[in-house]
Amino acid sequence: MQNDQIYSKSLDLIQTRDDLNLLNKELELIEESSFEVGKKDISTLIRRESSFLLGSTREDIGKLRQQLAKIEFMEITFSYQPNIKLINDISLFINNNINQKILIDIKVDPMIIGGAIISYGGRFFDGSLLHKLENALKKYV
Amino acid sequence: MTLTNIIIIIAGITIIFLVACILYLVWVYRKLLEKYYDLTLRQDRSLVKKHLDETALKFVDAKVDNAIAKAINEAQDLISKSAKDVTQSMKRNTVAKLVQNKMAEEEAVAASFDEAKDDIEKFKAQKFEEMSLKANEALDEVVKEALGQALDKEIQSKLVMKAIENAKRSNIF
Repeated sequence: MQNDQIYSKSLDLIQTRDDLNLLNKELELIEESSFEVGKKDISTLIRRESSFLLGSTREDIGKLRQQLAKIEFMEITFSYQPNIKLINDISLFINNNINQKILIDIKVDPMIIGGAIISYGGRFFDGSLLHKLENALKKYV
Repeated sequence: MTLTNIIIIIAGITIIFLVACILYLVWVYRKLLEKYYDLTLRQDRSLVKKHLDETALKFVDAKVDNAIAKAINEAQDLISKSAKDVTQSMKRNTVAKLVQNKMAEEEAVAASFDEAKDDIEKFKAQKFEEMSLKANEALDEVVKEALGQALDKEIQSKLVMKAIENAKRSNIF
């Protein structure tokens, strides 16, 4: 497997800001592990071996991190912590509709009751149940 | 001197006397006639004058009466017209003043009404806002309490996906 394909796969796997932070941290550790010759702990060894297996150089990792830095986020506020299935569904829907990689920045606010509040590129959409209820209540009060 | 002569002289004298008498009578007659004529003429003149005077007086009186009547009529007309004009003017002024007063009164009433209306609207808006807030708060609490517990994960996920789809339709992304 070519390095580009591996990196592309890595990009496909990350869907949220948390995933990106985790990947960035991991890449940082891989970079560091290649220099930490004296360290003998198991995670450092695994990372070093992984790096050798992938044939990654510091330049390759640097390029990947540059690509990651350019990724845009879509902030979505949920009323609860979403599960992986929902994140996958949302990520799939977004990336099918936008011709670029977008990561979900998850926010949780139980006050919105249900639905979601979406914010992207300076635009805002309130699809929360709270907003709908407020609008409905205004008609009757 | 003979009798004949005397008779002739006497007859002559008599004739002369008679002629003188006749002439005198003629003279007297003529005088009387002149006098009568003068008298008649004078009387006629007097009558004519009197008549003329009377006629002139009547004419003058009539003219004066006419002039006075005309003047009185004109004066009456003028007074009537002036009075009418004055009445109309007064009426117009009065009506205008009444209209003005009425308008001012109506404006004042309208202003008071508007002010009262504004106050009512403000009061209504304030009360509505208060009621709306209270109702919203109460209903929000109830709905949150009820729905927050009643919505299961599947429904929550569907609501989230629907919100994402609506955001797409609204060109958020």
